[in-house]
Amino acid sequence: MNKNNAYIELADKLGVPNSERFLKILDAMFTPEEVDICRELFAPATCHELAGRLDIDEKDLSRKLDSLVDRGMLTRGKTQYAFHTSLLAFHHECVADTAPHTGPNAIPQNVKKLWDDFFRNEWSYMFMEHTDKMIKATGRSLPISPAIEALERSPNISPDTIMPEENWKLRIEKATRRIIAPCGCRVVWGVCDHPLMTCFACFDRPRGDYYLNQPGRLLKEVTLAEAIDIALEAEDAGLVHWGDCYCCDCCCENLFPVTRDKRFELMTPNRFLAVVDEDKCQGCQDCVERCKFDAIEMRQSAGSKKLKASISAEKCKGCGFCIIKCKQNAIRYEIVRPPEYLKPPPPPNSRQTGQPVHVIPVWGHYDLK
Amino acid sequence: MENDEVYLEAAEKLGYPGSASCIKFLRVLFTPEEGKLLLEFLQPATCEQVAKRLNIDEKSLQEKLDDFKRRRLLFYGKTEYVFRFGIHVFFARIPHAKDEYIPPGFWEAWREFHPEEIERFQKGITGILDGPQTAGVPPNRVVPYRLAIAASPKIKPEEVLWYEDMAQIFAREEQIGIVECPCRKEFQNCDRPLMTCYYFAKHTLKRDINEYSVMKKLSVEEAIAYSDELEKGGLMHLMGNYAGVPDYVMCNCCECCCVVLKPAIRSGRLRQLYSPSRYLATVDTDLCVGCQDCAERCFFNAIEMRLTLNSKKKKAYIIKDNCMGCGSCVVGCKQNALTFELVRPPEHIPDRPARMDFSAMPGVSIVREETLK
Repeated sequence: MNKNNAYIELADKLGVPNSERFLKILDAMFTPEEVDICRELFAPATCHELAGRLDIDEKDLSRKLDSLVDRGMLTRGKTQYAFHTSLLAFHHECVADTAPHTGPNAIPQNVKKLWDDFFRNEWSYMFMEHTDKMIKATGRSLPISPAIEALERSPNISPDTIMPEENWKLRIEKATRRIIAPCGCRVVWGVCDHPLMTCFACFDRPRGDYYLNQPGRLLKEVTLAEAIDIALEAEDAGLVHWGDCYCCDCCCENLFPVTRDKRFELMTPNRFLAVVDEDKCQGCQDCVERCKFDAIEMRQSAGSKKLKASISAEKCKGCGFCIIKCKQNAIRYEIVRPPEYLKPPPPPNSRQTGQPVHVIPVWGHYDLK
Repeated sequence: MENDEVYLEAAEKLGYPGSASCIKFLRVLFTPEEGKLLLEFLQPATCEQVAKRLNIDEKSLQEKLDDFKRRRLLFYGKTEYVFRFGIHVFFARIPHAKDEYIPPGFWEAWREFHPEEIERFQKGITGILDGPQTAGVPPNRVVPYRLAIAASPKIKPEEVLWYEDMAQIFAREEQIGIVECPCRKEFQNCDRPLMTCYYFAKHTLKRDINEYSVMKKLSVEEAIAYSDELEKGGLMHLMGNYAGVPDYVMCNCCECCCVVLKPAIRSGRLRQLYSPSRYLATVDTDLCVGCQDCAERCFFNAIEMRLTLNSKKKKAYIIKDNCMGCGSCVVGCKQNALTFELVRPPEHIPDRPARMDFSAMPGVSIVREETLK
């Protein structure tokens, strides 16, 4: 197998066939030998096993494996090694949030640039397709989380009606370890001034334990109060809380393409709807500016010369950002969907045949033997 | 029965024949005996003349006339008195009496009578406006906000005519008095200031300030400073449509209480009654943050919020045909996104007031007290 074929096979296995841009990235990141190694590690293996399979010197291989681990390309257990099995995981582990960003193994600037090009021109479209497929297969994608502060600013919402899985404050409070990583999107192709340390994908998870304190990584462990502050600041900055992420529409792998192409139907609402009290609304339009989903329109209102905010129940995703920043406290949450709405969707492929759909991205392996 | 006849007669003579609410109002203003006396002054007459005519004691009649002066029921010169009624009296005479001379129940009875009076007044105004005399020239003009001109870098000081500059107008007046706006006091449809009527009537001012009225005297500096406050509060300076100082009154009107401006806006006759200033508000959409304060301040629906490029917020847009050039939006804009532009030549303001025949509206015609002996 010549060099090109090995790279193409690796790209295929990661779910990115026929992409010149992605091949350029692989070429910039891996030597041909390393590609051969990674191709073999879609399932975990020890150095000894791998040396046998590839028919190469075990000591030499061990050094190469260590180098790949240091650069974030592989994860390592006591004896086992593994590669990342999806494009999403590959991005986040090898380039983004848990990848090394300082020191000798820091991701080079040219690789980040190639990723940016790949993301803006290809991956962002793939991402939407993927979400589209997921919605068709399961009925919906992951709902946006309601903002902590918006819930607190809605006195009509009794705390016991907030379900644990949508109660992010409770999740932060109950965590045993609170590890924060940089946002995987902003750290690579960030083009904005939004806060960077906002990623909760390592929060109270084996992934966090694995990467914390590893050389060159930006992850940090924070206190309960700090974690709450990070969440509140992210909400304040208008970062959409989706899954473990606090997303901006200028960088996020999900929100950027959806915003660019106005495909807001790909973002799934939560159980909450923002509702305006017209009498309190002063027409400042701050909410219109804050809304990422074009859900707020200024409309004529009886008895007022000022246009007042009006929120479309169809377009509102329940992110709550309008509520947080309303100086008049004129907006509050109403619960509009039952708790059953939060039950996980049926497993992928159950509704239609075809390519497998990853509801939860397949991350790397952090529990290797 | 005899008592009622006085009020019936008064109502008829005053131009409200058979009006129940007028009679009720008159009952609050004077007793039947007082009514009989007042009716003797439908044409200018002196105390001496009437005392002779009625064959009564001149001294006691003089005491009664002094009392009427304090209650502001009569117009008067040095020796002559005249009893007239109509909007002018209701607005500019009786309500300006000192509190103790305003009869109990005055405002209630006035509120009941006023709608009828307004209707008459409106009909009269409409008749005049639609008549041949106005030649399309509105009788009133908007005086632009002093603060709005000052906030407009495009306007050079030498371009501003002295009679459209509040400071210069005040400086040329001999005396300046201020009283409560009768419209706002009556209707209370907003919480804007009550002391908003500037008076300049040379003959009566000195007397009114010192004697029989609540009118307060203002220095030129005080008048300017106070006018600035009124501009911040969003009141419209209005005066006669000519190149000069107001010779009688300058109103500071609101759209919600003023008995002339409010119906003018609603009836679509605004431009018939009021001439815009020579200025036009313009928006810098880069500076506008879409707070809509200007739209709220504008009395004339001249500001619409519209979508612009590169902004999720709608921005202020001036509808030129509706803008009266008052400057309220300019002064109200916290972002300094609104400024004046000069859009009309000096000839826009007529040299002299339009002659209007108010004979069909006896109450509207101001009794020039300087013409009384």
